Amino acid sequence: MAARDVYNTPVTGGTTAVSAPGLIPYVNSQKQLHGLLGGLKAASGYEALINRVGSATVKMDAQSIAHLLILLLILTGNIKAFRARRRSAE
Amino acid sequence: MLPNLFTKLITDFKGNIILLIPATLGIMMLLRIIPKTQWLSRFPIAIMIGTSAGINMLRYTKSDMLSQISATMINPFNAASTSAVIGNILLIVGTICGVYYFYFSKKQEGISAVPSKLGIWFLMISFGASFGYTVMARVSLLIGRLEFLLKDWLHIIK
Repeated sequence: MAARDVYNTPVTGGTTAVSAPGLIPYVNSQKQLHGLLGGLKAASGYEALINRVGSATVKMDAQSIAHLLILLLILTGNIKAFRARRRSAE
Repeated sequence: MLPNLFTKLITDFKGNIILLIPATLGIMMLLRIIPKTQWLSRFPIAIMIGTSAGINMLRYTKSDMLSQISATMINPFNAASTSAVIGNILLIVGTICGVYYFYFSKKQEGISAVPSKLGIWFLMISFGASFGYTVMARVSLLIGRLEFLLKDWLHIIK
């Protein structure tokens, strides 16, 4: 954040999703970051904003399916864990 | 070393005479391999650490302390939309409760345990968001690699 806080230069950018949680706190009322594109989802959102079907938009289909699959697996795992806990309590 | 030191010194020695200082410090650093002159390497290391600390201290204090505190000390109701007001309130409550969770000078029981428990929830949600982002990144990488393998390399998909 040296560019913004020390040299007062407006900063914005895009990062991989791994780095995004560490940088999101800088998107604040102090405008340490003017905005942040975090990961593929934000990249596809940006492409939608500029009316361009790029690689991020194409990859987002597979990404969404993977997310749904992960959610289903988490849900299934939790249901199984709750059932197992109830059985052991009985 | 060749473009940054030797070439500059050969072409314009007087103009780049200041480069002799880092060159000397670099040689002093290498003297670590000789047991008798090992102590000399402490000076360049001390200069490096001191300079790094001095340069970064200002930036860290401004970016990660003062600006972050200022960003939290806001009027939550001074926002354009209802969602922004709710977001501001959550920001303030989450920050205070999250910090309070790490306050160990007083036993947290009764009413004083409430913000601490709320702080745990905020921390858990933030860790969950971080984990979610990490999963998203790994899935993106997998999709990218599969796209390369199946599209660019094997031409199975178009």
